Amino acid sequence: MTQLDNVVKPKSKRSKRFLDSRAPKLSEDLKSAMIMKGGNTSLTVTQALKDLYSLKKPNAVLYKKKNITRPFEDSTSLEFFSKKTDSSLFLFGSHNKKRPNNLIFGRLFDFHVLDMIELGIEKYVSLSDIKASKCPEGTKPMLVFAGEAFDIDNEHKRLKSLLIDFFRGPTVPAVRLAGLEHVLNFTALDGKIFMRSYRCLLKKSGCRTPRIELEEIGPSFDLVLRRTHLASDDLYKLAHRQPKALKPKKKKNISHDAFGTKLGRVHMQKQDLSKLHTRKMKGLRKRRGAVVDGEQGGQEPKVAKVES
Amino acid sequence: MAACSVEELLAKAEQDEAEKLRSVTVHKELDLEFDVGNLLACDKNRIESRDLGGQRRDDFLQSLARDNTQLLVNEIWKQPTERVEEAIVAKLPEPTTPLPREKPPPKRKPPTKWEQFAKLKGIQKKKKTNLVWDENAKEWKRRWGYQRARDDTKDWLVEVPETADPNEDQFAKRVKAKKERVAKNELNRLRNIARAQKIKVPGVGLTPVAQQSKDDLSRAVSVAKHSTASVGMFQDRLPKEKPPKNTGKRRKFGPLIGDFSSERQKQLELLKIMDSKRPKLDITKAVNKQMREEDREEAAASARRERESLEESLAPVCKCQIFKMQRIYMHSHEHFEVFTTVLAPQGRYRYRAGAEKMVVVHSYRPHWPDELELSLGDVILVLSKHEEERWFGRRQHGQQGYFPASCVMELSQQKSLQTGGVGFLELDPDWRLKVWMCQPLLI
Repeated sequence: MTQLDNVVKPKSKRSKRFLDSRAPKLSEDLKSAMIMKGGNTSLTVTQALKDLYSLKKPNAVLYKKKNITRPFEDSTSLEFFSKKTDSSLFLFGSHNKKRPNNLIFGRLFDFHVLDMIELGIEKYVSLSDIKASKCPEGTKPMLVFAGEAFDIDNEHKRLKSLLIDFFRGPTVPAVRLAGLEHVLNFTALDGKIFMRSYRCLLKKSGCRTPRIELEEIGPSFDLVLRRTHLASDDLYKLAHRQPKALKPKKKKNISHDAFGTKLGRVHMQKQDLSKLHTRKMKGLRKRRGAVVDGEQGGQEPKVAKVES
Repeated sequence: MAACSVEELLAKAEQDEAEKLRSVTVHKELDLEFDVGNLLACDKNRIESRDLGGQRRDDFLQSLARDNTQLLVNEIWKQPTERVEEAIVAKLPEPTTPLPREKPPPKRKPPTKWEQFAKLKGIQKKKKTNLVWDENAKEWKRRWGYQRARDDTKDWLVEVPETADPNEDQFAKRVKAKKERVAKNELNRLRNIARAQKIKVPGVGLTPVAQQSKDDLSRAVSVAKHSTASVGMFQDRLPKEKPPKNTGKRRKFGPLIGDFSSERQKQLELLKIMDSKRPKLDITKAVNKQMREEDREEAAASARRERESLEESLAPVCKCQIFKMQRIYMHSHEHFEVFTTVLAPQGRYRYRAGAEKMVVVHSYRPHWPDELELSLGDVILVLSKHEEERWFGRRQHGQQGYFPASCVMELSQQKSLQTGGVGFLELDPDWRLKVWMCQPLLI
């Protein structure tokens, strides 16, 4: 919610909790997605949206009704829905003569569209078309991107970031190794983007790491890049800004060398060497009743005191 | 012989190891980039673009995906593992791919006025217990809110103070006081928000009081004077009226010890001005001077033209006046609103009285406060025709205002010549000032 929203005070604890859950947080919750269709959709697009919803499921809202809007022309209704459902990712499907079987992936920052990328479906195989045992819902997928376009082209770079944001699932501290089942593979090849979804089979290899075999489970898309709306560099940078509290604190006087050895720097005060206890030798001892030199006159009794 | 066998053994062991690992090793020209926290692998190698069709392309994609996934899995299996409830779990590092946030980072709540004051004075918050002993109920109750201890709105009997009015409802008085406290608190909260957002906070202004003191009255008078002023002209002072207090600018001094950089800047600027030979150009002043000169020239030219036209024909001269409806002061707190109609005559105007007499042929009821009521047969002196459909005029009784031109007809030219003569009318500014008070609180 914006700054001005806190002018209206919540009247009950429950509504206060609700507003707090939507307020900006230091470490954010998982982004949720809203999946909606435009005024006209083909069977392909409807099915694709359903399949993508099942991939994203616990953190997505599938809108059942049509929303006659064009995100590239006017994004206000998207922003409204985003505010309503508190989701910052969207997937918009539409179908018309000019742009048949159209999917728009997008994300929002502060309830304003950050970037959106339009993809046309050229070929589509749905999740139900492939008869194979599927992965359970809500599995955190392994994401694999291949192709140099994802590293060179600006739009592809942004698309990659957007897809990672969309499909990566929750950030977890640990993962069950046997549960790594789902692989989403994006390949940029011949100006197209191929999205494939595989089930990952862990086979015995004779060593600790298993051998991987893949089995296609769908949905699979052959996509072409259409229109894009990318955030300006300033806005993109602003959206990436991390709060100060999340940045790791600098530790003073500790450094690491190339081998990973920890080095500490210790500050010592200046040592008074005159008070240093050294090995006492009989030969260096002052004899009792020795003649005192003129130069050492003042210091002599002090030294004697230390040594005795 | 023995050495040879050792070498052979080592070679064999190496070979075995390689054989074992062969099923999980993949060779790539460029190493993949991993983000294990996101279970993400990026393959930057160039893919040989062969024209593959249908099934063959799918197979190619699958084999490529298999290799990349194998590398990713190898990377994940390198992470430290532990056993949690019969399952082997790998600890993942923090994700490294920068992704945009959903919302901007939370801002610190701006301090309220009280918090600022408390910080300045070093007042620290004291923690109070939530529960207090209620003597009447004989139990511990909350300090605030519903079913609180010592709830004075729940008393069934209230002592009437000796000095109080015996007819006053003491219960109602308590409720009202509570409501006022709540309202005040809410107002302060909103003011805090406004201050934090750097919106100009409206002053409380003159609040209605039961009995206005002498001070309040004098303040009200000065406010009213400001609101009815026009083009630098104020209402006259009454004979024994004292000058208003607390007017003018309050002098502000910089702190003795403070921002050294700004002070340095100021001094340097001063020195720069003193050092430079050229006179300093005050743009505002220059522009004002230029504008004034232009005005003067224009006025002289128009006066000349007027004189010429007067000489040419004895046609009536009526100079347009500028009438403004100025909403000078509007207070948002609904305490008072002052509107003024300022008829701002700039000096004396000469006109021929008889020439512009009109007779009302259609009666007219005013729709605006500045309009005249016309009844059939009235004679109206037209003072200004600077608008086509709405003229400004004066009735016989001295009432002035606008009226629609279609409602009147000119008296015959000859008659006007007989009765009329050239005369002067001096417009007195006070005469025409009107003030409507929405709520008669002030004066």
